[in-house]
Amino acid sequence: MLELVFIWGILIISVFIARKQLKENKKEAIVFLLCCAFTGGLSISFLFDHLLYSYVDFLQYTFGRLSKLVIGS
Amino acid sequence: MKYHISNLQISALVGNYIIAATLITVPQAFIDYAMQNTWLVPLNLFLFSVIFVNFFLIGFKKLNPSTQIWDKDLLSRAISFLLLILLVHIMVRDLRIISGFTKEVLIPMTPQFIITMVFIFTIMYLAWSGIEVIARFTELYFLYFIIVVLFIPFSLITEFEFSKFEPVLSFSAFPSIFQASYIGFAWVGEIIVFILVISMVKPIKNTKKSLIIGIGVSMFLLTLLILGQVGVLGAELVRYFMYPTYSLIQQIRLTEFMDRLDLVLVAFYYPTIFAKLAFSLYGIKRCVEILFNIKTNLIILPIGLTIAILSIMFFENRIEKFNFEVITWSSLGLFLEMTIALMFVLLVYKRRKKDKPSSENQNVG
Repeated sequence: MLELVFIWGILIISVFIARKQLKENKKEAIVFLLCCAFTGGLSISFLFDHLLYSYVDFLQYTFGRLSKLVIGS
Repeated sequence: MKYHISNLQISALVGNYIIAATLITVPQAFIDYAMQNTWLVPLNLFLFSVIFVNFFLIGFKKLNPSTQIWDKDLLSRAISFLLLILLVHIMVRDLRIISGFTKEVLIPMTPQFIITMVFIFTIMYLAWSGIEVIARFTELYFLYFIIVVLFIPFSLITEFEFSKFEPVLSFSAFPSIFQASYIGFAWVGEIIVFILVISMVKPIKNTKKSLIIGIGVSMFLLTLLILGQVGVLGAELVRYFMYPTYSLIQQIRLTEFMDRLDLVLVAFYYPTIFAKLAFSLYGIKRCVEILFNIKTNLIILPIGLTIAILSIMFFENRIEKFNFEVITWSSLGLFLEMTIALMFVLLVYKRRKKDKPSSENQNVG
């Protein structure tokens, strides 16, 4: 939970600091805010530990099996 | 603003990029397969990377130096998207390797989150400064790193045993050497990320040579480390070590009062991995810039934090991390690198075709 608060805190502070620069360039602002939203959303995985493990499991099931075919287990 | 990197700097960047994270755990995987013959693996990797560099730089020399390689077209964006995926995986893996090493070996009481955050803010600061600063930083610290690695064999010469390399090569050893090399192909193939900055190298005609020199230096250093690990510790022992290079430098005992020399050497090593991670973060920023056609440093912060979160949350434990970096990465990395290389060759071909009419017009004029 503390990790989540820390990440969100940094994101909010960075948006606040960069607000003047963001007002000048709309496209830059959209990309930056999208990145911040993505990071903020991703940080929820601190509450649900297993959220991202399945991606690595998927990679191991596909590419990992391919490697094992070449190098053996 | 135009950025420039010298040939020496690109060599240092390439050498550092290949060796910085590889030396922590990968030699163990090599030795696990090739045992006492592992010293041949870096030679295989060098040959592979020379072929790889020659492949993805086909036709690059004939390109007009003023030609813009990265443009708004679909092919440029597709390559930068694939590079983004590759760089995110590389950075997540490397950040977890170094934070895991720090937590498990150096400061076991500190939470992983704190270590990762301290590292990522240092890396973000370096990446924010731009490619020229990263290049100068790497140029300086890679030189220190070379001196440190060259110092290791001299300091361990009394404990070195040639008998640990016996039996030397037999026909039955070659499949295992190939298996170990296959693990390394994806790690040395990471040099493909340098296509993002290749147009910044001045003079551009020596780029290929600089890349190969960088690879050669890093493979030489890796050979020295592997020779040290096998010759001092023995292949039978090293294959069970999680951090074989750290175990090797722990063996260095120069005098009685300098019993923690390993910490000094590790301190010299850390800037090299920071330089690698900073270059990766800069590369991710470049990819986002090409994808969205913007120019901003602001996105470094959310991207850096995303990488930090992923590096903590991707791997359940160190076994999962090890399986990813050795087993999964050898195929995943190679697949991404080959696809990007192929697409880059197509991009250069397209740019050369575009160049021709304009140069013909110039001749007529």
